[in-house]
Amino acid sequence: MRIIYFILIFILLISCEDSEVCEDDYTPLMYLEFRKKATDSLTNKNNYFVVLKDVANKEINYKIENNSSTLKLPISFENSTKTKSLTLFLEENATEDKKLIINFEYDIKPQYISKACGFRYTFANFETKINQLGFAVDVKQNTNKIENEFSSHITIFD
Amino acid sequence: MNLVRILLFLISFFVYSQTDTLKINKRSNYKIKDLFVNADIFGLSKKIFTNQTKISAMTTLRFKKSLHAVIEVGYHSGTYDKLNWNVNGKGIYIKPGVLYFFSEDYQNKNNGFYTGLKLGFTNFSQTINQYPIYGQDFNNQTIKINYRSLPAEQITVFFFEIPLGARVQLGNSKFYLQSELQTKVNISDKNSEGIESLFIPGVGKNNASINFDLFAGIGYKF
Repeated sequence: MRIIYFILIFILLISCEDSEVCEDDYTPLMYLEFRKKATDSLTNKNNYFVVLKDVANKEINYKIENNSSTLKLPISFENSTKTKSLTLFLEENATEDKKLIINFEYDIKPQYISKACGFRYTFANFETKINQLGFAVDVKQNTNKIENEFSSHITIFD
Repeated sequence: MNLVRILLFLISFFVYSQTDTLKINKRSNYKIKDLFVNADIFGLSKKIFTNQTKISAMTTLRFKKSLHAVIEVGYHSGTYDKLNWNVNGKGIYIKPGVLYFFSEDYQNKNNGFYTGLKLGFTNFSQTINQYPIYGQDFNNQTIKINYRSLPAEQITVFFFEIPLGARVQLGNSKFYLQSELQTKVNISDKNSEGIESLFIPGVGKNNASINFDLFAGIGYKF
């Protein structure tokens, strides 16, 4: 008799609602790192000016002040499945020839995480094409799929 | 297909137990006693207060001192509409099991409190009308990037259920009030792509690892 009560109380105690907050496993960001070509060492930049253009030529302009050698960019926006071009420059009034322009393509794959986290996108067949080097001397694509942010996807040398 | 197999299994199980009873009849004059059929009034009322339709009935039969065989069958449909999901589920379910009356009225042994164990099966159709896809924006804030949907799919779910209930006679009639709190634990609730089922007939909204429901209604004693 007592055992039944204990079991029921135990069940009531552990049966709180599942966590409805998702804490990880979102769609990964595109991870860029900046290196000096001569020494192959990471180099910090004060400001990044970013222009992302999607398929419908919708532009997203952004200034990132982080004094860091890495940059993480969201490449999938609301109602947009593919992002086509990234323009990057380091000074606000940079001339057109100082702008790095990279075109890229990928296939989107939805991946189920959990009830709270829903789905996320991963990007397969990731391909970059340099349109204009601008301030950079070289650009290296490090992977052909974007599934996490553990290591850089693109390295930019200057 | 799975459901057909389950039903065949249950039918063969009952036919077998029926022949077994007949054998006992010859030996010990066993009579079917305390056979009840209950209709779930609370389940029907869900139609008014929620987006769920639930029609269910339960039959119980005393087979040993305080032990009753039980089988609950029903149709249940509804929508899970939380956390940016919108999922429809509809189908029938069946729950065979055993009830144990741990407290019985000494004047009428059919009045009392009970607990027990039921095993639930359901084979149902699930449509994911909307699922969310999350990402981050430039400020590292989580945002919904998009919604998508998936077509209807047939899913089989197994669960077990621990009821805690009471039954009491209405006056001197053959009618009884019966009410039980049902604690449900899913054993398997994933579809072919590994997505958790969010509305399960017989369980309801799959809110947590343990879900609760109520069966409350009127029973008739044969």
